[in-house]
Amino acid sequence: MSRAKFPCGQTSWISRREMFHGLGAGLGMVALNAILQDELRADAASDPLAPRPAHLPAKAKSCIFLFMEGGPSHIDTFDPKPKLKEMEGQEFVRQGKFVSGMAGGKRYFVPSPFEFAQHGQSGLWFCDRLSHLAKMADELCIYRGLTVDSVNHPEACLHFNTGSRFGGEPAIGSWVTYGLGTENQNLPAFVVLPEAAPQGGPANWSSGYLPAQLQGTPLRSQGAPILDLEPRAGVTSESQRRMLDTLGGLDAEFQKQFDTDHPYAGKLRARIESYELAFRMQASVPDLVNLDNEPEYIRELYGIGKEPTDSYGRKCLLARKLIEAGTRFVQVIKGDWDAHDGIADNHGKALAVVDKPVAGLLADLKQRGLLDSTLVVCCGEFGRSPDNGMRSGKVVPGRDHNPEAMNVMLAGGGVQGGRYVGATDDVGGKAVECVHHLRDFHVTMLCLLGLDDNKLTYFHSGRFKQLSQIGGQPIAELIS
Amino acid sequence: MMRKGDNQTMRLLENQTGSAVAGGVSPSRCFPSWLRSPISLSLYVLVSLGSLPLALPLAAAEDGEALFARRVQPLLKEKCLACHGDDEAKLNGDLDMRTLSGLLKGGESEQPAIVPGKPGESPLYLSVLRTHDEWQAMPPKDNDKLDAIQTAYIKDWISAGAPWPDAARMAELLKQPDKWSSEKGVVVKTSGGLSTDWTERRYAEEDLWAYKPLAQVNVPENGESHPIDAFIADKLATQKLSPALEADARSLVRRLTLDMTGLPATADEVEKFQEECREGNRNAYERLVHRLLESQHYGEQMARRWLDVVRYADTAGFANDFERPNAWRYRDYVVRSFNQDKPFDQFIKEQIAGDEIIASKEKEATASSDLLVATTFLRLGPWEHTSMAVAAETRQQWLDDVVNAVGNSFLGLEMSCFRCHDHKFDPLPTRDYYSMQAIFAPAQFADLEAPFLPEEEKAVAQLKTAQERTKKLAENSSEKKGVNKAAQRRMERWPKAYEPLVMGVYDGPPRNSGSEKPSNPPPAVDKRKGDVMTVNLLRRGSLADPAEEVQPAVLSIISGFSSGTFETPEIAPSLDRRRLALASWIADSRHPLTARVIVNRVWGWHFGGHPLVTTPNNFGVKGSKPTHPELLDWLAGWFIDNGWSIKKLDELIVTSAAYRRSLHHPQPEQLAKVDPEGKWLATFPMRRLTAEELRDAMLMVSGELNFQPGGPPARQQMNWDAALAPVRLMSGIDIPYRPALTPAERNRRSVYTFQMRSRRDPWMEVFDQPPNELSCERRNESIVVPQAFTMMNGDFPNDRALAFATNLSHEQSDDGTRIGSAYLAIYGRQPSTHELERCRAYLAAQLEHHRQYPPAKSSIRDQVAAVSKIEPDYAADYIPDLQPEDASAQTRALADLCLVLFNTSEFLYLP
Repeated sequence: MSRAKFPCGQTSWISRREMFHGLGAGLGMVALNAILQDELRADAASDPLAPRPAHLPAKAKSCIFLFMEGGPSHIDTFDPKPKLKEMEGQEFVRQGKFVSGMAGGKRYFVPSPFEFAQHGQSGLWFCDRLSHLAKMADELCIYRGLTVDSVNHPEACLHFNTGSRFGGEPAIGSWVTYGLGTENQNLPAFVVLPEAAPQGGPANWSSGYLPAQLQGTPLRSQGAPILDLEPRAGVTSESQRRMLDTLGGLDAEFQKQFDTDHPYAGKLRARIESYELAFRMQASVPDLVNLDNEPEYIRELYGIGKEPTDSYGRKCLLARKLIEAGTRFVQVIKGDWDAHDGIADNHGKALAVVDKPVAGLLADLKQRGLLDSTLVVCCGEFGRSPDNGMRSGKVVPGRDHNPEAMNVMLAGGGVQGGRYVGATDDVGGKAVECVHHLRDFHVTMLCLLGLDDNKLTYFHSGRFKQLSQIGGQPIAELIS
Repeated sequence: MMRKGDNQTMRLLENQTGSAVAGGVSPSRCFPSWLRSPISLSLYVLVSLGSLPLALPLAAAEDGEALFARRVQPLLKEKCLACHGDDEAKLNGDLDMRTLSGLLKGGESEQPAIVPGKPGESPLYLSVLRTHDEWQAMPPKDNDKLDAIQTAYIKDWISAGAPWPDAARMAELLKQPDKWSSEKGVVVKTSGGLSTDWTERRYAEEDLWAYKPLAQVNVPENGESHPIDAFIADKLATQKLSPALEADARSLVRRLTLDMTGLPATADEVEKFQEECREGNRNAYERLVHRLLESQHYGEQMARRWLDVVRYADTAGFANDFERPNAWRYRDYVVRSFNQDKPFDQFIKEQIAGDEIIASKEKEATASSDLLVATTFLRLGPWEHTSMAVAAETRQQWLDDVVNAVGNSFLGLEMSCFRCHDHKFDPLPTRDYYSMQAIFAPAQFADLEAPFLPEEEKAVAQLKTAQERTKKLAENSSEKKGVNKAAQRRMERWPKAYEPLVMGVYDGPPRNSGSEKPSNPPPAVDKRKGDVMTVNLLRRGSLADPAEEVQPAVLSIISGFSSGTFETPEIAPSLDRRRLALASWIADSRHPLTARVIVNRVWGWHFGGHPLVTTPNNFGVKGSKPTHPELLDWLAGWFIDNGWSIKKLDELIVTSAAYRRSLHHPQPEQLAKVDPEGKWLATFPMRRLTAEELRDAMLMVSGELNFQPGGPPARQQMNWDAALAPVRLMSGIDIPYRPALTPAERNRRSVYTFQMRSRRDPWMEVFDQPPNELSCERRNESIVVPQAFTMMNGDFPNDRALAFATNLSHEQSDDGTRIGSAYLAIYGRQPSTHELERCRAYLAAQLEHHRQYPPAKSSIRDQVAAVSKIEPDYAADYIPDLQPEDASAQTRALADLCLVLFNTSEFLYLP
């Protein structure tokens, strides 16, 4: 085996390779690398963003993770529980040693306010608010066996997105990018399209202890897509060019003091080059994120230009454009799923926002031949309970958090559609078939992208760390 | 055994790319597994270099049984049985490895796992080799793989006929001496692991260097006059490297001033020092060092470094990211402590047990505020308890956090490594982890009253306007006025920043303290009696799986390794003074880690972020070894002998020739070849200014820096879009951040700015300010394109450049003089002819540009209007910085030049 020199070693002085890590930007690595070639003869392979072969054969090359923050209810979307109709209003006793203040008190069963029907050749069930997505039934694999640890939003979000409940660790997108590099060096490798900052904050897309350029780059839907990407008002291209030329000239003069062989010379050269890249990206990035040039039928497909789908539709379309342009991992975050106070109203609104755009995204990926190579995962941080407590002294048809049962929608990326994997019990309270902890799901996501969690490790604070934290088993049924 | 291709999953798991996952993925340095034997330690290097065949000296056949008892069975237990035996109902691959018959029967492959006498035909052996085409690598996790010695044990045992003695024979064999560990490795005494194997395992002695008492080291006698240089020179000689010359006077004064105060030297300071040097004033440098050590800014700079270690923030993190209005008192305490040169052993004790010191009356009452404020250290981590969380879990989170914080900060140990199991590499049993936790079990959260010290009083008084405003806002915010619950909760905390409260702890029985209420007064003193919370060892770190109760105790390895010179203290099981006992133990001059850890940090702070041990938070087996071990021990001993004085240590370090060296080297090729990483210190290591230094330097050069020390944090200017982005909270959408109203408030030193966990300043972030969830042992130094974006287009550098240009325009008359002044302020020198020409040409072109394009009207008013929805009058009261529309074309052109200079490497790097 060619034992590469990679930063898992415990004895890293500020090494070339570490310095190298500092260099990429998450953006524009190629040119910087060229600059640094001299310094890196020994370490030619250690560019964290250069595309790299996967560990395992896999169809998926990239991933779109549609994260539904707040915990969507499986019972009211993909996992019908007719039995709850019979049990409506009956009292429910929650068991368990560690319950939150929220879960105490008198509780009762709540049936779904939505009607369900089967769709597609596969006959998958959908609630009546998912009429667009239902048309994609045969592309979807609904996984019903997942369980998570936390009932608390921020911890559960961080757990799902980073493998750790407490933050500070790399996000899935960072791990995937760390493993596979990226295809387009002039775009961020891992992009986040958030609404408002989710609970737990930007730690949800942090690169943790991995090199900084693997951090998720939030692209904003309004204004400059990347902070400070655009020149200030009144600055012309000529004027900026002049600035860069002057800067380059002055820096070159300073750099002359360092012999080209000097170990620090590469650092300075890379810095100069980063300005040139920035200049070029000021032109290329806005062009990419501009959706105005998309044909009308595409915009229609995603529900752009109409409420309530416009904003989320734009994010989904942008996700597709980014994937097409070579971004490795795109995470779209949608909130407002925390339906304590009324499923019909809360989920009714939220489903209306996402149904058409998600269906449009899948259809668009498929028609472009991208669905096979793009893994699409859609879920929240946990599921919801079949029961509810009193809210403000009243009985309301809502649901609590439920770490023991949820549904995950998977599509594309080689996942066989039109089927269920696993099952929840007859009221949707607990996963009962093909039950796996979140860490196994993380391992599975990596596996579908051709990465082996046990090999995708980074030496940090005394041990090799990995997304699953302590290792896990891929869920064989999902990998087909 | 799993034959490759047995099923789809495993096929997917195969590493089809072989080992060519260079560059990013594999933990390609194959560390010997944690189960490695002592023999392997000595041979490992050779084996991994491929200079030894894998087959090690064959154990004689009669040794087969002993080998099995001593090595092979423990190996099977540790590596295999979790999946192939522990759970009878769930045998992976249907292979049972608990018995010989199970191995001979084999699993799904329907082939025996071993063929006695024939390792080459035994799937078990082929699997652990991990290189066989047909048999899947086992154990599946790369991290668990067997090292060459261990695979050799398996091989030898199979070669010897795979003997499997019965229980009685096994017991007999285990009584005999272990011949495989006679040569190398030491057994160490700890409180004991969860298994005897762990308790009795051996360590390579050199790996445990940091647990050993400090070595008595003599300064090498090689003609160097400064002790540090004597150590450094020895290593340089070994590497056949010559040291660089001393840096010139201008570089020295600029380097030292930035390093010691975090602020650039002024043109006058540079000139004065150069003059003194020209006059041949021998003590000029020493005098400069002393002047800087006495500066208020010294404490600010050192505090910023310490705050990285303790992951300081002004908010609580998690969902609500509630503000911690009194956290600033801890930050100021740190600044004060460094400025007063508080002995570091005392600094440790105060932070861990300040309240218990007061209770034990070791200190006079006058100092008690400081002692209470210090204990905020214990609560600095992210923590939240809301109605959605489980109280026992959030309490456990804090216990885990505080134990890790103490370990990281003072002992250089990552405590979380032995939370779920005995430490995989270090002699740290999980029992010790929970014993340490028991020390913190009586600590309960409270906002404690502690009168302001005079300097705190002064800092608060200076912010009177802000104080009154927050009070009014808190009183007037209600849902009737359109202010939602989330914003109300935030605002109701603001006035508390000006009250003499401390976010601290007291010793008492368990008490719920949620974080949703704005204040948490302690119970009356007579109500603090009762039963202390018991602490159990938690299996796999899980609250749901408690094992035996543990008593408060410190890490057992330390006394076990001290040859009787440093005994473990007795900690009474009573409620109080557990932490004081811990703190006294850590701050004891006999403690092997404490002095080494801090001396190493201080070294790294001065030497461009390059400590002698490159893993300052991990001095354990897997931490890096010191580049200069003798120097480290000598420094630690010197430090203790000099009363744990940080200032004396600073002085010692920065007066060395090593510190004063030039960045340039006479033989760059040689340097690049021998020491590209710069670890032998032939030159001074080049480092970029930190995010904070860069921000402060720009503000200082532009003449806008507000030097006011201390007090509640300043809301600094931040990219407007980032600053005002709404956030989703449990109780609604809020705009949690808004810059302060006046430029003076916004432009305070970075150490005094508001550190919000969920809303980090993108400017700081892009220049590698670390996230503050975890302790940061060393800053990264990245070069990323967003740095260029923000330095060219961002409001902050542009506003500073305009302010700087305005000052230059006021004072000077012609372009040449202005350019000269700018150069002096930024680099402490005059421009060269070339530079002057370039700058003139640029100025002329930009002047032409600005005459042609009048400035666009600033949109700041529109932006701040958004805040007025939840904070009435904000927009009306906000005073923007100077905007382009307020400046002449000439000033704007000059600002463009200033911006260019702010972007140069000469400004961004320490000279």
